[in-house]
Amino acid sequence: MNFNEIIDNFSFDRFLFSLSYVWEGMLCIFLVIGVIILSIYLMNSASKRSKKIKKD
Amino acid sequence: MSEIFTSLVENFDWRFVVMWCIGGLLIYLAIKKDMEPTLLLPLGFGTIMVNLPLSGAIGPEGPLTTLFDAGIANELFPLILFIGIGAMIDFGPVLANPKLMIFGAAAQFGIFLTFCLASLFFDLNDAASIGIIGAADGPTAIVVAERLNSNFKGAITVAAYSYMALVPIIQPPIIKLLTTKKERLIRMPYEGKEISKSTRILFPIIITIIAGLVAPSAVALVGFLMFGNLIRECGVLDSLSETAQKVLANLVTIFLGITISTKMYAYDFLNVATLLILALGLFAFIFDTAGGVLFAKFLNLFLKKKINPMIGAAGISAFPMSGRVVHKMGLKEDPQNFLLMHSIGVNVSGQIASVIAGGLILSFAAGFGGFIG
Repeated sequence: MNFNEIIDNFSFDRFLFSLSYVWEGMLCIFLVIGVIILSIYLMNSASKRSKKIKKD
Repeated sequence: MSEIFTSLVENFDWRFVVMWCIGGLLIYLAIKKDMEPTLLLPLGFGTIMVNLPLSGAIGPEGPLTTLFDAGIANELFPLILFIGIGAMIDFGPVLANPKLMIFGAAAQFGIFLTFCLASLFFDLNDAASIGIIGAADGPTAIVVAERLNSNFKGAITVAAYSYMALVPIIQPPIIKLLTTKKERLIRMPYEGKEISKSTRILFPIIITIIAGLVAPSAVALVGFLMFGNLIRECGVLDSLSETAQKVLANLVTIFLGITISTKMYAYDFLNVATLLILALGLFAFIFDTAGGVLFAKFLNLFLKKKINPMIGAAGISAFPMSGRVVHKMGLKEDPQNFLLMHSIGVNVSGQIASVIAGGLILSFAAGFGGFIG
């Protein structure tokens, strides 16, 4: 793409459309990571409990 | 003889010379400056090979084109490389302190913001592919750009790998700008926790399931990374783990680097769009760093036990460079402040988050009709 093609392709509508993906993307990623964090805590907790049972 | 000379003159272009210089620069940066040599050196050399008049290395019978179709067009090489990368990563620091993963998420902000900004000038497929430079992860950038059939794969790959190597230069000024001296001096003592073997084995399996359910397009990316990690952690496949970490990773890296150079053809690469992509790529890295740091500062408003906001910057996926940069900055401010285990934990979680971000971008692309299988 040369300079003129880039200018011709300029689109503020496209920018406004993609703006929602900033919010959506960050929300999704925080949710997924949140679920992963919770899973890790559950795994660690289950592991501690099973170690305790084995000791007893 | 005269035919050869005539053919050379007819097919020669000044742009080839520029690309030879760019190839030479990449080689120089790889060797002299030790900047991502595993990728920049083959990429640089391949650039020279591709930009010779009537080069036999490319075209219908060219070996580089054949390798490209065999391994890049179908995303196979970067995915296989991910097996090796997964086998190299120790998720122990993340498993010991899981809440650090949240900074891995925050540091992907630059991807989506850059996608948005790039959409001013580029079609959505290309804008999304440019945004993923912010993932600071070469294989993810290649897979996304390939899947979205971006017209700028060469520029995107060069930007992703170059900026990964430039993290020690890009990040410190941004971190200093966004933090106060008092914040940089916050100490974070490390309390090591032992992680059970069953947790280490379950982790890659559960991540794959969770990420795959949320972003099905991410299954290949996350799955191959986690498969490599599972080989490492299972304890019964030591020889496979070693092969994945060394032989497999090195072999695929050789092919990946030299093959991606087919996208460094002068007529495709030398244009204003490439400069714009390089600028947007830098923007992505800057806002990834800013996203992680600012999120840590935001959390500190509510926490009694403050977090050193610098570790937020380590959420960028440039592993382990970003973690080390933050640790060194911490030591510079206070020689007794050892942030390494925290920053590496955040850095490792950034690797996972960046792959998930890549999958989300592909899922979004399906939504705006941009998905091209």
